Amino acid sequence: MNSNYEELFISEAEDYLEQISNSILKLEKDMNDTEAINSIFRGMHTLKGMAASMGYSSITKISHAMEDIMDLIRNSKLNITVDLIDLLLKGTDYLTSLVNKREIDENIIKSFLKVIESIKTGVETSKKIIETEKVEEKKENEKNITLKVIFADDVVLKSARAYVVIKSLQDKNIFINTEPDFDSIMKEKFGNEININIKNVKEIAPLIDDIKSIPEIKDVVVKDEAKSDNDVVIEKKDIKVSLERLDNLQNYIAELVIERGRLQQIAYSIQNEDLINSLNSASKTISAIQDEIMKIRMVPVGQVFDRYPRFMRDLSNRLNKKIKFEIKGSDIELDRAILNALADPLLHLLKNAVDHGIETPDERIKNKKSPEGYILLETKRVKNGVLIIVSDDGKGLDKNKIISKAISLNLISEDESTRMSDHEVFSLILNSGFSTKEEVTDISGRGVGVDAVYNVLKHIGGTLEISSQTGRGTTFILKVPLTLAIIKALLVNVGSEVYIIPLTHIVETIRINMDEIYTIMGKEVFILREGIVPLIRLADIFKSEYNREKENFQIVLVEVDESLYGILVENFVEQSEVVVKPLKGMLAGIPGLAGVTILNNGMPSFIVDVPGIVTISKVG
Amino acid sequence: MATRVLIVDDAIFMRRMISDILKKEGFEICGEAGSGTQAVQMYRELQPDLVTMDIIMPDMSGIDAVREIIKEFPNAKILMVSAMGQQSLVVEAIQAGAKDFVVKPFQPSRVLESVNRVLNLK
Amino acid sequence: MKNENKQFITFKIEEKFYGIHISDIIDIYEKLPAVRIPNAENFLYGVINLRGEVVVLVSLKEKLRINKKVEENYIIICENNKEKYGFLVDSIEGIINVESVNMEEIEEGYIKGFIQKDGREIIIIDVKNILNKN
Repeated sequence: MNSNYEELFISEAEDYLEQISNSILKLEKDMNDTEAINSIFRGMHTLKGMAASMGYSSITKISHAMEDIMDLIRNSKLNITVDLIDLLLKGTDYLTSLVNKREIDENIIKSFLKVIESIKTGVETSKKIIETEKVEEKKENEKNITLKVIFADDVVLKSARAYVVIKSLQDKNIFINTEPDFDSIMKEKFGNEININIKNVKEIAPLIDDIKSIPEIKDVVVKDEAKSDNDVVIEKKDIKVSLERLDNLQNYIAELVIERGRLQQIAYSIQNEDLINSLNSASKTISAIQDEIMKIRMVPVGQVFDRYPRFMRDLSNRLNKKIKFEIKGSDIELDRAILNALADPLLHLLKNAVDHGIETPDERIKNKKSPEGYILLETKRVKNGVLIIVSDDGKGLDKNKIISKAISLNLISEDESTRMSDHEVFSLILNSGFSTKEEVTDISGRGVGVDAVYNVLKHIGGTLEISSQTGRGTTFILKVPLTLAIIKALLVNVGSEVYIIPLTHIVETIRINMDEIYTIMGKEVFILREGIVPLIRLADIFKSEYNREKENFQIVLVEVDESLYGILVENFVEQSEVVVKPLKGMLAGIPGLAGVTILNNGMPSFIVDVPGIVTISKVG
Repeated sequence: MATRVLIVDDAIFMRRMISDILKKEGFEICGEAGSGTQAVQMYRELQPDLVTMDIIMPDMSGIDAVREIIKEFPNAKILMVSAMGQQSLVVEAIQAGAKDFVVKPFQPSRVLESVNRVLNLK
Repeated sequence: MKNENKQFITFKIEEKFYGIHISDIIDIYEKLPAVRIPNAENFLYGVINLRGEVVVLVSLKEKLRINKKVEENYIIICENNKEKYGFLVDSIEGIINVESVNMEEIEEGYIKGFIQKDGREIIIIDVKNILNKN
């Protein structure tokens, strides 16, 4: 078969299998979830067709068999049982393996198909009885209607316009919900159309006319359920683009942005009006392209998180723990590269929560807790980024264990440990090589601790916070930037060197005189609104040459882990947008550096790892 | 009998423009208000068939005026006049009971489209 | 040694002749202004902007423990693990063709061997080891 199609087949088949597996899990929770049943059926049906046209016979056979089973369920000829759910999951696993070119023993497939066949024939024999029982019990009248509302091309205030439509249906008491959901619609996160689910009405035509009379509505059509399968195919104008291509595109744009800056400098220095004007309009276009690429790179976190429920189910079964796992905010979007980078760290935190966090049902009952533990993976949009919160209601982190481990690792002294706040104690587990659970289980893996998670976060410019209460549970808060590539930053200089401090860390900037700097216990500090703030001389951290004895300096006040620090620099150069290039090869892992960029004058400049230099300043 | 319209806007210029558009189509401008409080008072007195309501106004905002009017007259037909970038305020106004909105700067035809739709609502 | 043609770019560091196999070299530039890399090891001289790409300059003198008396004037760009690196050298001499190389491993493996050509001794550098071994 043509290998050009193969890549496409694999990537699409994986999508379908993920959707199928999620629907099976939904079905497990609610065995009457007809939407889930239909989704599994449709998925298997499509997969069967795709595999057949590629000539993959095993995939075709299994998906065909499972489609048959789903058809029986769909027509209420087969009852859903726990065993059946397991069987469906097993089949999905086989399909996933086969799609990814992993061989499966022919006999396993045969016996699987046999089991399915026996279920089918078992149904076949009792078919007559069931059929007479369920005489056309279809509740045709209770069916909901989906309206596709298409907006005019020149619609202004799109969200408000959509709301006028929704409100008019709400006033008629027939509104159910929308696709995309209401929040997305209010944030203008939709294209030129929305789907609205409404209760069945006797006459649809007047209703449609009514909506059509709303200004800026181009058209309203009833979505035909029977056709919905085809609809999906036709409407799917999306294409798959490899992340690498997007990265390339973004790099080219980044170079263009740098070049633009340089051109602007030249244009202003020679004061050519025409050139400046033409550059300004080119500049706008570049920004627009930049924006567009950013948007293309954004994907809902659900794309990755949807894999987790299945994993959590299997894991908790294996560990004999009862766990309710919930995902919230999976429609929130994040740069695909960031999301990919977070996939494994988050999985690790979730593993930890199941393995170390949640107690066994017996233990929980003993502690007067519900036998079922709760783990939540929540994504929230905040200013300048996204919060991803992993919380459990398990036993919480063991403070004493962490302290004794930290002492044995020489991270802290016994004396220090008595003065540490809870927050500081929990932060100890971010040190590399730290893990409180002594034995290495196959669940959490060897050598990968929370410190590894922390390192990934640092790399992408994020932060990690931990809070925990004994017996009540643990919460990890990951704050990640929306996008990797371009950040707002302050350019500062020490001596002849220019460094870049990302605005995300900056609280404010202050001018300071030499005589305002004090030394307390060997560390330089200054007073800010009656508080003592540690001073970090950037030049000392980076061993730069500069004039220490100047009359006054500039201070960049930054916040790290809820504490303020003053970074002392000579001058501020400017505030600017910089394109972050990651530190690769020999530059990777140099303490205090978070990235590198090329300035408008064409010179490279390093981006300061603010939490990193705070750490260096404490050690040094 | 001509349809009676109350125009609410703190800018005389905007009142003039809307009133010109509507008069040309045979509507009767029964009153003009320059603030939210005034709008509520005049609504009580005039009970017009339609109100065009600016969103941002001194003393009482257009949205609060909508709330006040709808509280007393649930069937009042109010058309919001908004500027670009006031999306959330428009949504709030519609929640409060306004029936539709137009966005400044507007085409006369666009205003008339909304006016007619609002008037046709039962 | 197979019968393949061996071409080397030769250059000078502190009055001695060195060579790098031509297939290891991407480009040669006159020295560009570099930015110091704070907290980096000594042999990492700095970074330059090479047509929009940030490239690390490696000081061969530091790596080979040669005392620096002369300022380097050229950069030889090589690639390792898909990353470009620039080696600082004093001057570029030319290209030589040789049939075989005397391959003795010496000096922590930074040097591949020696070539005698036109009465000169040319020290052949192992680019991979220089970049990967400490």
